[in-house]
Order: sequence, then structure tokens, then C-alpha cells
Amino acid sequence: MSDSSKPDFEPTASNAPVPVGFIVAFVVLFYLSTLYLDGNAGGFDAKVYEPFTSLDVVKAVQPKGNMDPRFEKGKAAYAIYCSACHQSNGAGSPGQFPPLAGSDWVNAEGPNRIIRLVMNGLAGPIVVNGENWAPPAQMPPWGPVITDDEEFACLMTYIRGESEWGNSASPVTAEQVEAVRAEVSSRVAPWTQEELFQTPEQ
Amino acid sequence: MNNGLLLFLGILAAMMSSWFGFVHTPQVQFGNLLPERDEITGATFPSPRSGSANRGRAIYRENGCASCHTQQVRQEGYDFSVSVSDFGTNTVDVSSVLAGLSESYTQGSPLPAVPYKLAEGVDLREAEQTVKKLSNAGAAARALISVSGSDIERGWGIRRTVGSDYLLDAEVMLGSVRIGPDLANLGNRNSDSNWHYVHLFQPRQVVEDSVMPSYAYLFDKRPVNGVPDADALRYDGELVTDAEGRQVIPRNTAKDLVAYLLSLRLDEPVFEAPAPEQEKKATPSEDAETEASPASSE
Repeated sequence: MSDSSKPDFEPTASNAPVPVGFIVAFVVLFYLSTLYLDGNAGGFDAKVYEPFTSLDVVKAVQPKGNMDPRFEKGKAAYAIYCSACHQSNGAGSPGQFPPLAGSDWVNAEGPNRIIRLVMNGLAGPIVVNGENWAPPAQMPPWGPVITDDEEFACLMTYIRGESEWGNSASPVTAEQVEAVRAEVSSRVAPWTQEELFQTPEQ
Repeated sequence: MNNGLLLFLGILAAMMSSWFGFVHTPQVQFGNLLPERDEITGATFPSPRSGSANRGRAIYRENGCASCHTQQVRQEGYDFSVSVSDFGTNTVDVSSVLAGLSESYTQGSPLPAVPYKLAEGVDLREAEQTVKKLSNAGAAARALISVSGSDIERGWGIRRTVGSDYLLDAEVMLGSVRIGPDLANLGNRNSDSNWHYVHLFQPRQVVEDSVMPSYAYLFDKRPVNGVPDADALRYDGELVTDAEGRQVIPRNTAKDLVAYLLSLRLDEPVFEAPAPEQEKKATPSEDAETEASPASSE
């Protein structure tokens, strides 16, 4: 028994050993909690949240597009260069920009004319699906803008193959674009409908 | 106190371990997140707020909105279904595969209209096997994710909220109590700015049993001299007035706050939390904001 009335008394703790049971319980708890973190912390990855358990699971459940990559690339190019006038649904704008959806120019047997048209632009009236169009502005040349033949070809593939527009023409290869580009490289003026008619479709 | 050093070290270790767990680990985990740019559309995520909406965030904070409203959406689970976009031309094969997969379809009967959904509520593996069977028969199909949770069923978002949702917020007002509804997707649920003005001024006028206090001090009250002001609040075509019959005109603070509320949107799937693609609603821009001011509500 200690006597606290003594002014110079200082209580001391003895070195009683920690009960073994306590240490065992602690080790077991520590082990269980690391197990829990292993299974539920997603590797502490910033991209993994409940209810997903690991980055691999998150990657696996990403929605998969059913588009092929060239088509997707073309769609992206369309959104940048074309959709401002021809609209993202390809319907164009009455009296100003002819439609691409279902257009006989876009869905032609071969891409010969449509590549030229997009490469150098178009001026003057044009007949689309038997309808007379007299666009107030000329279509600008896109050849100098889209200098990558593959991207150009993807764009052509997209507008010709977009099934949501009802288009289902054949895809276009970078070689086809390259050939046309070499042929018209000296041309500056936009095409007219009559000139394009002189080019074979295929 | 003969074990003072031991005591000190023990307390230090306990403090350090909680600091390590609650401060250091999250910083290592989320501190390096950056806004992402979508290479295909050129859009950034999260999309930046307008200046007015950014000022509104300060108003939201000043008024303690986060004491009663959360901005975090929970998700409980996810599953998959299979959507067929095209049955292809090999109708005989597709028909027999489909009969094996779908209970409602019998072999030989005409193929259902596309897009056709089957195998709902299955896991990823089963969905992928179904897709494979269908595409081997020449059909175009893919697995679609769907997410579930009571918050998502209430329309509070199409997916759970993730860390990168808050990247552009200097102080994140997650909130912890839902006395009012969650606001993470408010701009999408109700994009009518006039409704929000009236709701801020007189909550009970638009939501009968609302417990929200009135934020009348965000509005100017002026007597009507003849014709009411163009931007005076109207609801259901009738002028909103205070107790003294004065017209109510939103101050800039109210306009900023509503711009902020409308900028809260949770309608985009992200990598961290995939969700079904949504039909995009137009984002209210600054211009649309002006057009949709109370003046045009009649």
C-alpha cells in the first residue's frame, strides 16, 4: 500500500509482462484485417471503387463498342471537321448543306468522286438524290487540313458505312486516298458537279 | 512516471498510424488524379464550371447547404445483359442459338425486333459467353452493364460518385446528412432555373412538405409600380410575392447559386464507374441560363 501523504512519493509501474492471450488476439486481428484489405481495398488504386474489387475487374466491365477502330477514328474526325455543317446525324441543313445520310454521292459504288469532292471542296449547284441543291457557300477543301491519308480514309469509311444513317457503302483504304491526293495535288480550285461527273465512280 | 518515454512512444505510434491511414494513404491514392481529356470528343472530364457557377459554389458553402444536402451517390451492385443490334443473315443458326438462350423465343418463329435484350441480370462471364454464341451465328451483340442501388433508382445519378468527380472543387462539399435529397445530379433532374428560384425563395410553394428554410435574403423585394419587372419571379404564370405583396427579384447571389445547382450533373459514365450510355441532355450554358431566367417563364 502506498502512502500518498508523503510529499516526495513518486508512483512507479512495474514491468508486468503483457498477457500472451492479448498478443495472440492482436496478431489474429491484424492478420484478419490485412486479409480484409487484400480482398476489398482494390489494391488502394484510385480507379477502383465499390462494388468493384480490383483494377482488372474495372477493366473487364468497361463497355465494349461494337465499332471497328477505323470506323471509330472516322467518326471522331467527322465530329471535328464535318458535323458543324452536315450535322452529327448526317442530315445536313435544308437549303444550305446537302445530306450525307442516304446520299447517292456518298454511297456511290466506288469512293473516287467523294474523295475528290472532300479533298478539294465543291462549288456551285449539286444534285443529291435527284434534288437540286444550290448551297450559298462553297464547301472548303479538306485535303490540306486532313493531311493524314489514313485519317482521311477512315473519315470516308465512316460516312459511307454509318448504318445509323442508312449508309452501307464499301470502306475506303489509305491507298485510295493517297492515289487521289497525288493526282489532284496541283489542283487549288474546288470541284464542280460537271467536273466530278467526268471522273469514273470507281 | 518511470515509463514516460514508453508512454510517449506508444501515444505517438497510435497517432501516427491513424495519420498514416486517414491522411497519408488517401493522399497517395488520390493526390495524383488529374482531369482527363476524351481523345474522341475533345471534352474534358470533369467539365469546368462557368464563372457564375463557380461563384455559386461559394454561396452554397456560405449558406451551409452541405449541412442538409449530400453530393455523393452510392451504388450497391452491377450486372449485365446482352443486347442484340443485328441478327445478321444466317437466320437458321441465329434462330436455334436464340431458342437455346431465351425462354420466350421458340426456334423457327420470326426473329424479334432489334435492339433485342436478353439474359438480363447475369454476370460478365455469362454475358460474354452469350455474346460469343450469338456472334458465332452471325449476329451483332454486346454485353451491356447496368448498375443498381437505391440512390440510382431514385434518379440521383446514373452511377456512383468517384474521386475525379470533385477534381475541380477547391473544397469538396460531400455532406454527411440527408435532411434534403442528394444534389449530385440536380442539374439533370430539374434544369428549370425558375423552379429553383421559387424553391429557394419559398420552398413550400413548390414542394408542399419541404423542410428547407427560405433563402429570401438572396432576393430583392420591391413594390410593384404598375407593371411588374421583367425578371420578377413567377410561378405557374402568377407573380410570386412576399408577405407584403412585393415582387421578388433574384439577386446576383441567387443567380450564381442556381447556376451552380444546375451545374451539378452526374450523367456521364466514367472509367471508375461504368454505367449505361445515356442520351445526352443539353448542358445549360451561360446563354441558356439567361434565356431561362424567370422573365421567360410565362
